Amino acid sequence: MIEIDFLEELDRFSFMIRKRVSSVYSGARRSIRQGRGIDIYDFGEYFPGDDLKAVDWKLYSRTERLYIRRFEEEKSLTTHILVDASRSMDFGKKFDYAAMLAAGFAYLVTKENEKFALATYSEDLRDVMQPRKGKTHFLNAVELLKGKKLEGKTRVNFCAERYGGMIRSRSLVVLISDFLENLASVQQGIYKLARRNELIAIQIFDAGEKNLDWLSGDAKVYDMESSEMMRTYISPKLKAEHEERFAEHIQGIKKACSEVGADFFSIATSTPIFDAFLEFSTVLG
Amino acid sequence: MFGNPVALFGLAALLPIVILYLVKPKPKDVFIPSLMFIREVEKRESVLSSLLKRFVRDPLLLIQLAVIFFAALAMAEPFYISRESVKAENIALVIDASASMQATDVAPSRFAKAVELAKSAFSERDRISIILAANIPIAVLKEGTGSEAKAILSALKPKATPANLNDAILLAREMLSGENKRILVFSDFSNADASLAGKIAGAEGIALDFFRVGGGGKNIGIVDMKQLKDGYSILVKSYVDKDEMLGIEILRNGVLVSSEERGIAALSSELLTLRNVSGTSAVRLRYADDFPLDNQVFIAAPLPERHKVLMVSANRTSYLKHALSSLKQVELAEAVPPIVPAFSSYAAVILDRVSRQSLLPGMVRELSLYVENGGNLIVIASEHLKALEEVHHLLPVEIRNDTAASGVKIETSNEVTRDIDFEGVAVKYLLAGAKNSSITLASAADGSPLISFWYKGGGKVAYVGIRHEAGWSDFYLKTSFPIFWSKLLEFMVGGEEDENLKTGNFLPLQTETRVKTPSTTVVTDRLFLDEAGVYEFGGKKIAANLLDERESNISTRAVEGMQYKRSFERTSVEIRREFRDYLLFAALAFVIGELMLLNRRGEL
Repeated sequence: MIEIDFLEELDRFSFMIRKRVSSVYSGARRSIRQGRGIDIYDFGEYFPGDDLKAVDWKLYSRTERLYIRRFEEEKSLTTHILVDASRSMDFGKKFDYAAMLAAGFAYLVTKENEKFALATYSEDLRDVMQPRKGKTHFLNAVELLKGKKLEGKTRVNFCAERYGGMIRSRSLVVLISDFLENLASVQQGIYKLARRNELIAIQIFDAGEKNLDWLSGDAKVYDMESSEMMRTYISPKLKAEHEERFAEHIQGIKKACSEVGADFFSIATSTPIFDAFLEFSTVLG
Repeated sequence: MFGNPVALFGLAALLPIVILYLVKPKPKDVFIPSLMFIREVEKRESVLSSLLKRFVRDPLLLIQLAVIFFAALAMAEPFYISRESVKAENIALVIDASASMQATDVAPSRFAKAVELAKSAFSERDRISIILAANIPIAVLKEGTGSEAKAILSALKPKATPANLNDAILLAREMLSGENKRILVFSDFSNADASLAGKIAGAEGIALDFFRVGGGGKNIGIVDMKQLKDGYSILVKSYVDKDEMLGIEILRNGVLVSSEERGIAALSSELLTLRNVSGTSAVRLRYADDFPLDNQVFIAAPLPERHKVLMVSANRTSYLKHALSSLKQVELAEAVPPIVPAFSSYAAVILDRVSRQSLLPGMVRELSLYVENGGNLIVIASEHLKALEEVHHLLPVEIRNDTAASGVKIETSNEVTRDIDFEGVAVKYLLAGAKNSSITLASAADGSPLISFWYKGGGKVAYVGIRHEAGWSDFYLKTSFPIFWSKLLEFMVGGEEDENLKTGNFLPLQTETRVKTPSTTVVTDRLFLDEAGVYEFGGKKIAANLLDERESNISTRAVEGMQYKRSFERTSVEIRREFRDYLLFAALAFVIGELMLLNRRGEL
């Protein structure tokens, strides 16, 4: 169940990324390029030929010298939000949580009047919403996430390749998944998405799938994605080792992200959604 | 068996556990996002534990069942009754190693059977002595352990000699010490009566058991061999109760030279005669029986070659000369003194009638040297002999002046005088006295030696006081005359060693000598002929053969009055052996195993 009450709290966030992006469109993205814009970057001495509109007359009155205001050229940024909708996301509230994060990002982007695109994937790309601006687009996105049926296996690598081909210009890609598949495939997917884009990879996990605390003794354990069954004895030792393997997997993803300059967050579903965005704020605006 | 069978009801506790196991909830079906990590964890487990896991779904159940099973069984105090000897014994094993033990009427042989039986006759706790009973007993182990005894028994081999069980048992009696003494005799008792030694041992409180191996089998074998003048007579005896055909083969230096078939009647003997035998020969019976050892006889000594004999005499002709010329083994040369050839090339020199004048000092010196170096000298009495003082020191008699007449009395019956008929022989003889260390074979009525010899230096000197001339005696007219001379010459020049011996004899050698036996090579100064075959040493060959009618008779029945056993029984008692402790240890081991498993699962 996706709740959108938290969106109001997100009003406090200004969705900006202090990273160099390139776009032909003006927008709310801060650029170190000088040009037309709103925010004054610095002042420069007037030389004949400079735009007279740029002369700061207030400053002239105080200093009797002509200075012109130099503006930071503002660029627009398209955000692509990819949400894992495979069968494994049906564990606990993983998908709901992922959907809320996606909605949060879409909200922040919409609030800045930027374009965002949304796509869900499992074994292949499933629903792809083209980059657009506006509240209607946002509401459509929320609606899409709400009614999403979770099925299939996770194939990050394959889907990243497919989706990467659809990104026209340098963009921000937010990849939200549980990343529960072969580490090599996850790494390859990350490498592909981070090429020419800013990437934020967010892993969603349920504490129960990590430490298996809710399990013990003889059990027939089924894989949610493949339906493969394994009969085993869930001992504390196995649980501890399972958690260890899980942590190693996360470390592997983290390493891949750091190799390509992407940001990685591993968020438990028990984390309040606002706290999660607080955490993202280290890389946002 | 159980000391406390009630405790077996404890096994009923297994039932509820099994039931609990059966009725316990089925494993839960749980869904997790990915089996990836569990699979990785299980992949790192050892091959053994993953294999175990594949077959044993719940090892804890099995462990718990085992704990209850062993604990309940331990409480039931299980035991078994074993028959064991009361305590360790001092055992002497007497193994008959006589030739008849090589008989193969029991497979693989009587001896192997005896050894096999002996090996089962003791335990590791006993102190074992082993005596090999050949014609002399040989102690091969004194108070060794069971394993030592087994090793030695495995290495023993039978001999080709008769056995003396009595001596072996008496030796065993001496070797045993301490308490619980026991002598076990393993033999075919084919010709050995050990009852006397048995009685002695029994009187001293030593338990004595006889184990009989074999006791049947058919055999035809060579049981005797005699040397003839020009060959050998060989006695073949059949112990088979029906007529049989034999193949008789003669081999010379290992090569078959003749072969013939001959029938032999049931339970009878056949005499074979071999002539013109020379070199190392063997006679072989081709007949499949249970005792191959006596199917062959080896002959090492070739017949004596012709001996070169020099007769030194002033007489050109004499009866003696004719007699000697007629002997096949004599190659007679004559010399009339003072012209004589070198003595050293002659096997014997006969000094007949030599006058004082013709006896040159050089000849006397030569003669002394000849005797000193191993020559054989025969001096015949004559009227000149008294005067020949230079040669008196060589004679075994002291010659006196006078002569007398008498009959001939045999003093010593040996191979020279045996079967020689001196009856009615009258002689004129030189009065003489026997010197110390001389041996008088025949003498006159007054005791004067008529035939006498002694060893002088390395040689032998004989004095013959019966002169072969009319007026001296009429012995030369007797048919015994040439026989006597033949025997005397054979005695003088023939070797003292018999080259065809029977097994079981000791052959003293002068020094440590390297001897090639039929099976190996030994260095010894005392050769024990314990194998049948040819022995070689110092360029000489000696043959040893069993030639023992009693050993060949492998089918003899048991000696009456002796109690035989077929299997080993020893004084034993029933001992209750409990193994409760082992079961408790097993239960404890499973408890520890359970704890380890729980710890491994992290449930402790």
